[in-house]
Amino acid sequence: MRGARWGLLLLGVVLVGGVPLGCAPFELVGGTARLPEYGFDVTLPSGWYRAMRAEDMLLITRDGILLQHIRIQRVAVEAELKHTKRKFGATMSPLEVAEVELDEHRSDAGLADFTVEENAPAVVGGRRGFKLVYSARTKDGLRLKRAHYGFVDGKWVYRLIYQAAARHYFEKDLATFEQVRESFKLLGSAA
Amino acid sequence: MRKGALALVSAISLALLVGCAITQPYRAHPEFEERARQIKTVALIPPDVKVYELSAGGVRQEMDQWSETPRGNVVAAVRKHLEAERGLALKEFDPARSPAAQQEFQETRPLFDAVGLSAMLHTYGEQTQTNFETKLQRFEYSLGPLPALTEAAGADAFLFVRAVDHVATGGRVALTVLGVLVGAATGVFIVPRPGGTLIVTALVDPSSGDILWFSRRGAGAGYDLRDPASAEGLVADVFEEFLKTAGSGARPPARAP
Amino acid sequence: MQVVVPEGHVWALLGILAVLAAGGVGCQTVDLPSMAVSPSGRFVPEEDERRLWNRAREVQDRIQRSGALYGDPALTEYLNTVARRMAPAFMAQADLSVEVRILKNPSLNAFTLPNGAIYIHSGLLARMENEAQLATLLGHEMAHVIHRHPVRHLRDLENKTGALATFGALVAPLAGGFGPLLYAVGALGMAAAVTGYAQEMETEADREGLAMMMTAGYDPQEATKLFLYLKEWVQEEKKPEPFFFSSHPRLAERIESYQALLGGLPPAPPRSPPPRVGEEEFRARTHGLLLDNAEMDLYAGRFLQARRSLHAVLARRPRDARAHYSLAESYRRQGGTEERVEAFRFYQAAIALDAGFADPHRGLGVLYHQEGKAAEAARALERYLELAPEAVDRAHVRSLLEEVRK
Repeated sequence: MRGARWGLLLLGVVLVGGVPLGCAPFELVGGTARLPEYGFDVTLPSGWYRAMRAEDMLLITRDGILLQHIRIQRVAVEAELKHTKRKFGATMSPLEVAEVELDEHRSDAGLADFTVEENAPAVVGGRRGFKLVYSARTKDGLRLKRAHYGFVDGKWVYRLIYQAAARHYFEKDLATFEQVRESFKLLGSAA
Repeated sequence: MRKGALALVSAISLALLVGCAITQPYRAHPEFEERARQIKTVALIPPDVKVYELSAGGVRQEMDQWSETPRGNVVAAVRKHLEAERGLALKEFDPARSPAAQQEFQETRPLFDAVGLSAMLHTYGEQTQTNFETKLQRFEYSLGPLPALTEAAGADAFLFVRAVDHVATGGRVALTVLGVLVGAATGVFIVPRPGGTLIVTALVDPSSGDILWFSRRGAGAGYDLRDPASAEGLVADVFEEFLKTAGSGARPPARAP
Repeated sequence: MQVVVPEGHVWALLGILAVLAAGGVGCQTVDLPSMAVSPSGRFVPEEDERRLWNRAREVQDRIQRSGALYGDPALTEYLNTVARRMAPAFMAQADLSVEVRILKNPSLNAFTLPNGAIYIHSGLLARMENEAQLATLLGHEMAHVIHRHPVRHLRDLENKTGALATFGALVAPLAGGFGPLLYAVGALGMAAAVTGYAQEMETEADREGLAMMMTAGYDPQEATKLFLYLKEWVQEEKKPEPFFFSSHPRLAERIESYQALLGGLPPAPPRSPPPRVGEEEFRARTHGLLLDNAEMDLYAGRFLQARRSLHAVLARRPRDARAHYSLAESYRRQGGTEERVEAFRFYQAAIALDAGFADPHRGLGVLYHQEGKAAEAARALERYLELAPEAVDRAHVRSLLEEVRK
């Protein structure tokens, strides 16, 4: 989860990340995006911008990453997570995968007042997964809210996340995010 | 200092370091012209004015005793330009007067920081290549409805002002001189920046929280908010195109690219 | 950066040095007396010190609004009582608040703001065993404030970075390719000087903090234990050492410093009352925090640390259902065959102690499901939903129930 300061750090990565100089940090998107390097297709809303230098994820925003963004990424099942020492398991139920994700975000020392509003099963890209809705306050005092879908496919854990300032911005583009989520398709079965 | 404000100031400082004298035009909501005609009274949220001393090594310290006078200078300059020159009524409004308004303000302030940063990155981002054409075409940012603040303030718009000024210490000025001397003697120039001033101003619709008008103005050096005349000069630049329509019915000039 | 070596540059540089001396770059005094030594009897801060206190108050406001404070008013008041017992009178006269607050954070750390506000992580409190160990920390932190380490550190930094910038400006044009190398050596030298200075402050805080602790009647032998626990935690976590405000204490040196100080203490006079350890009240007051902090350790996957806290709770309160449940969770989340056996044991113990406690039933249901025991899983999950019909995860549990019923 990213607050104002962490959003700046993310933006720093976006601005100076691995893409060669001369490539703009943001590009206008819309329509189908095929990302074979991450193993999925998705339809992106028009009028949004993709952060071209964000590594290991598809990251788009309409008003600015600090205010709202949608990101889709995958992490290896055996990967070490950033804030918790817990790990995913390939045979975990959606309930257990959701629990690990919650533990990961609850253990983020940059967040306070962590509140879970929803934790339910969901189907994503034809796979059994989960939906989480939670919110927390950053050290700057900004309340952020997140709708987070996830599932396990083979050796990958997929994350489809919509994060926005809880005040005014979250409700504004929640429907847009749900459309992106509905359009999400895995390319064959992930190796 | 607040980390949100620090992030804001850091982004601003980065912009200052990257550019030289930065003079940017305003950004306006698509309905600004129409809504501005209804604005007769503006509630000024207590301006956030910070003056920093820059030491020789670039260590920055906020100077409380230097911030009070610049705050007063900025308020006086804003009042002059809105009341005397634009015919608007300005009231100084402190949200702390009402518990509900104060609570709403505390919730809104970090969002205002995030909105301000986003507006600067994506509509003043020529040098960082981060401009969003969609936001330049339709400058739409909002804080969301502000019912408690609206009721407490009783005004047609809120004005937020954030200003940052850097004053070089004798040490840093000496270093600047030193840098220039070294350059003259050796042909190698190292000139640390002596300081910078920046002012961010936003006019907010009280009921919707929409940012109606937004301005970022600054300069590498040359302004000193401790000096009333200098503060007035900076504020005059800010309000040069501001509210030509507010209360007067005239059309605003076209926005500069 | 273009590097040129023109003729006559040495003379130009001598002239520049004269300008530098006149400009007075990098010459603020860091040699300030402690707050206790005030000729007028009332301490008045320097201007830059007052500004630091103002910034500190802003940080306090921000922390207050952030939701990061641990909300146990009785425990917080207890910590402040211990702090007030130790704080010298001149701190209140100097308008410095000796205020202790707890942050919700399971890592072992604490920091002090320049105006005397002390923040202790819940993790560090959970690791302590008694009031004397708490007094060690509070004494150390208050000593930093009394001896004005924040403003001295700031001035030291300003002096050194000023000198560094000047050094850079002077060195850059020298000797072709050697210019950048000389600059780097100078920079390293400056950094070492800053690190060494901070070490002096830490040793002063050790010594003065220990004196304050003993004056308040606490057992100084408890002092090294705090740093031993920190060292243990650093090794368990394989982390860089914890950060205390204004310095990196280098735990081995802290332990040696305290051991040396303790070794130099005179023997206690005969028939003097035993020094205070204060274990009983400390344990009673921190019971709730131990449970809450153990939960944070669970989320973070720090199962060993969680269990240490939970067993400490059960040693005093063997019938605490929540402690049994959290122990079960620590084993279930860790995974493994033996861990699963322990998880079952503790879930069942929690249920036996509190039949209305819903969460252990969910834990049992998940374990039975993992073991393919459908009937037992169904019974446990049904019981969970009966006891907690509005649970946030009820849809997941219903879905799991449908699966086991097939």
